[in-house]
Amino acid sequence: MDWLGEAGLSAPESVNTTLDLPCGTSVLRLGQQEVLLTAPPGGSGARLRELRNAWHDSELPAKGYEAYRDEGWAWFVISGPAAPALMRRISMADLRPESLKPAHLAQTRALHLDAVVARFDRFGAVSYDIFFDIASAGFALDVLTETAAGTNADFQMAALHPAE
Amino acid sequence: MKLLTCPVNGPRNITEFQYLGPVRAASAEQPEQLIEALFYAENPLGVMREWWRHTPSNTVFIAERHTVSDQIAATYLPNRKPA
Amino acid sequence: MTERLPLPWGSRLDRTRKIRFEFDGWPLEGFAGDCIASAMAGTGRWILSRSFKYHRPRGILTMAGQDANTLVQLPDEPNVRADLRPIAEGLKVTAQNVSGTAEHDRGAVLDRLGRFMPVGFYYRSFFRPGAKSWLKFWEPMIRKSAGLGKVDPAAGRGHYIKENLHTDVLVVGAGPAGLSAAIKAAEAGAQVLLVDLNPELGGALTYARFGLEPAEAEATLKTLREAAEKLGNLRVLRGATCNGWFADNWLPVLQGEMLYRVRAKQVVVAAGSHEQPLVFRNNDLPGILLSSAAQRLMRHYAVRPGQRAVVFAGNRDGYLTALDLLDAGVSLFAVLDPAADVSGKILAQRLIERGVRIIPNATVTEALGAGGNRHIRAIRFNTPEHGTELLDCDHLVVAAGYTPCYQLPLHAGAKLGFDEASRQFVLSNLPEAFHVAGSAAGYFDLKSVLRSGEVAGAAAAQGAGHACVHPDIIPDASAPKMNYLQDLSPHPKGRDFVDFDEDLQIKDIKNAVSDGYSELELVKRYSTVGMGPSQGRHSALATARIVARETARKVGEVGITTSRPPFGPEKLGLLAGPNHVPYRHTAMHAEHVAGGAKLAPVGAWWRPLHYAGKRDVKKVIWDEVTLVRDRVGMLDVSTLGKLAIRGPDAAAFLDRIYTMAHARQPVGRVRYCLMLNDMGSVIDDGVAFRLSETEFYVTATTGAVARVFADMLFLNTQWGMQVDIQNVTAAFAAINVTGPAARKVLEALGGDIDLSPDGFPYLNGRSGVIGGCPARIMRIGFTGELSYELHVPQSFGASHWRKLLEAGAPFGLQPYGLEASRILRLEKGHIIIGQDTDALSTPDELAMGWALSKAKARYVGKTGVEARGRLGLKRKLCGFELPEGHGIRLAESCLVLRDGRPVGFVTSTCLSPTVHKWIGLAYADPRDATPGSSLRIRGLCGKELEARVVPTPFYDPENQRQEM
Repeated sequence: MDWLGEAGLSAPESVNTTLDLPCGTSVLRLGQQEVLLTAPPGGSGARLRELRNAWHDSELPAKGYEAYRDEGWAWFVISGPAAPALMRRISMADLRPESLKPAHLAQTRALHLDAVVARFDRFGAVSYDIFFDIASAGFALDVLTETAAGTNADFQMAALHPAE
Repeated sequence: MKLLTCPVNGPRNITEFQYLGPVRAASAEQPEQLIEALFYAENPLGVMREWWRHTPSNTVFIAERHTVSDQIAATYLPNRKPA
Repeated sequence: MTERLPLPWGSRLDRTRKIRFEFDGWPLEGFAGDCIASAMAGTGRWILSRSFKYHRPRGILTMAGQDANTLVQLPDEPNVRADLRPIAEGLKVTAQNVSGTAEHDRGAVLDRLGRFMPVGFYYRSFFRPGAKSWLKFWEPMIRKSAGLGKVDPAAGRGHYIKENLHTDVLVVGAGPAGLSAAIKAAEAGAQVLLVDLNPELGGALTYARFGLEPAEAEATLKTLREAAEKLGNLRVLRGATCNGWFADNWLPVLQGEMLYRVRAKQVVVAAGSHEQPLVFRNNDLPGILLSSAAQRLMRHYAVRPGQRAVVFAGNRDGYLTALDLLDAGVSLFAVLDPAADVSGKILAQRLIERGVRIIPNATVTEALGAGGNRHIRAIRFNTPEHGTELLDCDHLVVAAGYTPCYQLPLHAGAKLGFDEASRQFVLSNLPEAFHVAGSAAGYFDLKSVLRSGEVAGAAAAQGAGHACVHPDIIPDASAPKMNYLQDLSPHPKGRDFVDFDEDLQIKDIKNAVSDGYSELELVKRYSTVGMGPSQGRHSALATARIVARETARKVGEVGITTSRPPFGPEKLGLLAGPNHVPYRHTAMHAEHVAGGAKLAPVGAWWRPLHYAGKRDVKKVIWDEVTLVRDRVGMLDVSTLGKLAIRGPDAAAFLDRIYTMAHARQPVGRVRYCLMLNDMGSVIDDGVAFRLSETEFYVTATTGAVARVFADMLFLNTQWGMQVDIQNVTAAFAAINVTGPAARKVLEALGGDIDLSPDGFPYLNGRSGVIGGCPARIMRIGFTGELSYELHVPQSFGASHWRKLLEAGAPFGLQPYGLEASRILRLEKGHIIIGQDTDALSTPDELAMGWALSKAKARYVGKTGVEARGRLGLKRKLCGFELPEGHGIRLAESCLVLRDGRPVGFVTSTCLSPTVHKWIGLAYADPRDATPGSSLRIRGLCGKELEARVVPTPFYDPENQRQEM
C-alpha cells in the first residue's frame, strides 16, 4: 500500500474490490496488504512492465514483496450473456450478477480449484476474470470446454495474446 | 453443506476451509504443558473456539462453534474479537 | 386395449399419438403422456413385479412413485418406477426379481415356504450342512436371487451435469400449499424456486376432488397456475425431486440428468403426505390401491381401476374417491366405513342416493385372490351385527389416512412426535429458515391448506429480507378425522403385510420384539422393516404402533427410525457428475511426453517415472542410474515445494520453524531444513537458500508443501513475526542437473554465474542469468553426484529444458525419471519423507540427531523430541545389504524380526546398479541397528534370512563426488 501511494497510484478502499487506473491497469485488492495489478487483456503489457520495474527499483523499505503471480497464476476471462450460466456450473459460490457486482471480486473455488473471480464486464457484456494455479491450467481448460459445451450457448475459445 | 463466514470474504461453503484445531491454552513449547497441549482435547458441551483457514485467500481466523447445535456464533480475525 | 375414460379425464394424455412398447415380451400400446404403469393398466395388465421374498404378484399402490411395487427393468436401467416413467416408442420393459415373467414367476414357490423364513432367519441359518456350505452353496444362491434390478455393465455412459443455484426461497412441492407459498413469497419480491416431481403443477388439485363438487378445486388450480405463470421471479422446475436437506439449507434437486445444488435462504416444505395402506390378510394383491392412486389413474391417465369396486373409507377422502368412481362409470358395490355412525356424513348420504351400499362398523379381514393371487377377486369383512361377509370385487380402494412427508424436515433436525388426540404424526422443533405447509403440516381442508401455504410463504419471504403481511392460519377441524387407526392384531393365517418391500407381516414385527429387540432401531435392523426402496413410507406408522403395543409404550415414545438423505432413489452418476479428475502439469510436461516418458500421478501432479518408451523398462532405469553416475542426467523437480520467506524476521522465523540453525545462516548458503511437529515427529525436509539478509528461498517435498505452508501461516498468526510467506511452487520450474559432467553442461549454457568449485562450493546458492534465463541455482546432495538444482520462472521452463539438452548433448546429457532418482538417493542412504518416515519417526530414530540444533532455545517440536528422547529409542532406521541372488521376495514393508517377533520393517530397498548388491533401509531394534549386526528379514514369500547391517551411504562414503 505504501509503495502504491508513493507511486501516486490509487488502490481500492475495501478488500475484495477493484478499480481501474487511468492508464488502463486494473488494481485488485486481495487483502489488507495484498494487491494484484493486471494489464488490459490483449494489450502489450508495456505499462505494467514499467510499473513492475519501478517497484523493483524502489528503495522504499516497506514496499512489500512480489508473489510472482504472473508466473504462478493462469488467467481466463468468461464473458457474454451466458457467462453467469457457465459460472453456475463451475462454481458453488454465489456469483450471480446481482451478488457479485462489477468492480468486486470473490476469493473462492471454481473449476475444482482455489480461484480469484473478479467481475469486470469486459467486451461489453457480463464477464468474469478467473485467476488460479498455472499448473492446473490444462485441467481447468478441460473442465471449461466440456462444461461450456454442455450449456449449448455456443461459447468460443480465444486467447488473450499480447499484441506483439 | 455447512456455511462458514470468513471474516474477510463472507459466507462460503465449508469445503473452502481447512480446520486447524482448537484454540489451546497449553503451549507445546513449555515442557510442563507438553502432554496437555498434545493429547488433551478440549471437549466442552458448549461453545468451542477453533482455528480455521480459508484456503483460497489464506485467511487464518477463529470461529466460536457450539458443539451441540453446531451453530457458529462468531468468526473473527485473531486480536480482533468483536465486543 | 380396454376402454379409457373420455375427456376431461386423462389430463396428461395426448390421445392423438399412440405409442407401442413391450412388457415381458408382450406388445402393448398406450398414449403419449402415459407412464408405463398407466399404459399397462389401460390394457388390463395389473401385475408390475414380484415381491422381494415371497415373489407375490404386486401392482399399483400409490401411483406416485412412492412405493416399490412399480420397480421395473429397462434394458440399460434398473429399478425404474413404472408409475413415473413415460412410455416411449419401442421401449422394452421387463419385470425384476422374477424367474420367468411377472405373470408366471417360478420363484412364487417361495410364498409357500414362508414358515421356513421367519423374521431374522438369515442370522441363524445357512451354517449347514458343512463348514464351507455358506461360501460354496448358500451364498452364491442367495446372491443370485438377491437384489431387484440388474445393471448392464456394457450400458452406454450417462451424461450428467451439476449446477449450483442460489435463491431466496425454495418451495418443495407445487400442490395447493406449495403454489400458495411460492406465489406469496414471489409477490413479496423474493427470488423463488418451486420444485415438483410431477410434469404438471398443482399436486393434489390435479387429481383430488376436495369437495362434493370438483368445481372449486378446478377453479383454485386454474387461479394458482395463472398467478404462478405471471411472476418473473418465480422459477419452476418440473419433473424434479428435492432429495434431501443438508446443513444451512443446501438441498439437492434431481431433474433427469441434472443435479441442482440449491442454496436457499429459506425453505418451505409443502411436499404433502404419504397415504397409508390398510393391513389385513393378502392386503398386497394387485387391484388393492390407495384412494389417491385410484384418483390419479382416472384423472391423469383416464384409466378406471376396474369395473367392480369396493371402497374402504376410513376418512372423507374415501367418500370423495367413491364419488369419482361413480362419475367414471365404475360399479361401486359398497363403501365400508369403520365408523359406527354414518348418518351425519353428507357424502355418505349422496352415495346412498346414487345406489351405493354404505356399511358402518366395518373392518376388512382378508382379501381373496384369483389365479395364484394374481388379482383381487373378493374381500372378506366383519361387522359386529352381521359377522363376516364376502363381497366380490375386482378392485379395493383404501382410504385409511396419511403420514406427513417427514423426511426433509427430519433431515433438517425436526422431531416427529405422535399426537394421540388427533391420531397424527406431528412435526416439531423445526429449524430456523425452514417452514412446513399443507398436509405435511397436518392441514387437509382446502382452505386451510391454501392459507398454510400463504403463511409459510410470507414467513419465508420475510426471513429472506422481503417485507410481507402475515396472514393467520385457518385451523382445520377435520384433520383428526383423517387418520383411521385400525386394530393391528395378526391374522392367524398371516400374509397381512406391514412392509410390502420386505414382505414383513404383523407377526414378523411382533416376533422381532419377542426375540428381544424392543427398541425400534433394533427392530428395524433385525427385521429389515423400512429398509426397502420405499424406506418406511407405508410401514412406519404401523410398525411404531405394533412395537408400542408389544412394549407397553406410546407411539410417541417409540417414534420412527432416523430419516436420512436421500429422500428417494438417486443414480450414482448424478452424484459423481462429470468425472473431472484434477491434474497438474509442470512446464516441461510436453517435453516428457515427447521423450517417451511414463508418467505417474504424485498427488495431483504427473511426474516421469522413466523414459523407456517402448524399450525394456528395467534396463532403461538401470541405464538412467548409470547415466547419472558416469556422465550427467537431468530430472524435472518442478513439483517440489517452494516457499518464499521474506521480511525482517525471515531468518528468525525459519529458525523457529526448522530444527537447524538458520538465524545466522550466511547469505549465499544453502542449508538442509528439517521440520517437526509438536510431538517431535518428522513432517518434512528440504533446503533453505539465503538470498539476502531478509530473503530465503525454501524447498519442501512435493507432497508436504501445502501442509508446511498452512502450518507456517497458522504459526505466524500466533507468533506475529514480520515475515511474508508465499507458496511459489507453481511459479518456478526446477531441474536437477546431476553427474560428474554437470558443471561442464552449465558452463556450456553461458551466463553470469561463477561456476568454479571455489566460486560456487557445495551447499551454496547463486542467483543470476544462465542460458539467457533468470535463475536461482543451488548445490545440494541427494543423488551423490555433482548436482545443480536450477530454478527458473515456469514460463522459461520448457525452453530451458531444451537449451540444457542442447548444451549437454556433447556430454551425453539425457533426462532421467523418478525410478532412477529413488535408486540414486538410496545408494546414498537419503530418506524420503513419507516412505522412510511415518507419523512417529523422530530424528533420533533416523540417525539424524545431528539436525537438531543444541544451541537454539526453541523450534517447533524441540520440547516434544527431547521428551521422547528421554523415553529411549524403540526402533532405529539402519542400512542393510544382501547379495544379489539372496533368494527371497524382498520389498518395502517386509518385516524385520527379533526373537521371532516383528520389531520393524523395510522402508526402501532395491538392487543397486552401482554397488551390485541389494541395499535398503529398515526400522529395526536399536540393538540390532548397528553396523556389524544382522537383521532377520521375512520376505513377501514367507522365507526369512539374515541381512548384514552396514553404514550408509552405500556408495562414496566420503561424499567426495557430490562436493567436487
